[in-house]
Formats: sequence, C-alpha cells, structure tokens
Amino acid sequence: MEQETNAYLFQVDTVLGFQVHTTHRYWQIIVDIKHPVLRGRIADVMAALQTPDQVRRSKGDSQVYLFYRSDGVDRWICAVAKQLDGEGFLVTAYRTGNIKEGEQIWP
Amino acid sequence: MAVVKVHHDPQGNTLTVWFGNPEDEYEAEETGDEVVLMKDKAGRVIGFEKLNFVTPQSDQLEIDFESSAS
Repeated sequence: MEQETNAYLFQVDTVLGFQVHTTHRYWQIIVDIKHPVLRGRIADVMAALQTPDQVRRSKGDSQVYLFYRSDGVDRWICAVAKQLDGEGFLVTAYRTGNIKEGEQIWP
Repeated sequence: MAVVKVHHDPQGNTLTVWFGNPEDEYEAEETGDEVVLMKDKAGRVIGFEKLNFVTPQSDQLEIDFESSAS
C-alpha cells in the first residue's frame, strides 16, 4: 500500500522543458486538504501543466512556477510546481478568477 | 464548535489554514503576495494558502493558539 501511494499518479512534460509529477499520496493531500474543489479535476491540472495559456515564476522562489490554463470566462486552473535538480513536482493547484502572482515568463 | 484547520506541507513549502468548511471552496483569489484566499460561492473567505512557506530545517513548526474568550 505504501509503495502504491508513493507511486507517480502522473508525470507530464511542461512547456518550460522539464517534467512535473505528482504521487497518489500527494494528490490526495491536494484534494483532501488544500483544495477539495479540484477533486475529480486531475485532467485539468495536467492540462494546465502541459498546455498552459500562461506561465509565471514565483517572486518568493525562482524555482517555483505557476501554470495557468483557462477554465471558463475569466477563470483559470493554476498548477503550482517546483523544479528541483531538473525535475518538477506539483506543489498545489487551485481555480482562480484572477492572476496576480509572480512574473510572466511564458509565452 | 468552530474548527480551524492548519496544514503544513514541508515538501511543497505551503501552509494551509481553513476556518470554514474546505468542501465549501468555490474558487481562490490570488493576492499577489504569495497568499491565495479560498472563497465560498458567496465570496466569503474561508481559508488561505501561503506559498513558499519555509521553516528552518532544524525547527519544527509550532502553532501558538490564544483565545481572549472569558
């Protein structure tokens, strides 16, 4: 059971040239604790990482990136990922009606 | 009884605090200061998530709770 929960749930290529992954266990933390509103929306989070409309770099940590993808009129899914040693992992994800964090680095 | 939930994620460097029901989250609002406000459908803030919340490795996170209720 421990091995299953620590196994990758997904690993996707991002437009920034590195891959981002999350585990079963970590995704459960995101949808059970951090943002239950994203329960059932893993495909949308993956799409935000793979085909974002905009990517921003965090002001507080230059290795943290915010990937935004449209989710309706004036709404976006934001997937936050940290890159470490060339590999990225999902930190959190949420649905937002505004984009204010970080500085735009892509497109 | 009101419940405040605090979750520290040392891997993702986030601190999540809920003072409403997390299941009521409708969407989040970015503040621009690396704090994301979670709101219910009525627009009420029911929690927040602090991004890039880092504690020195040698320290464990301590939560100090005080109430002024008599």
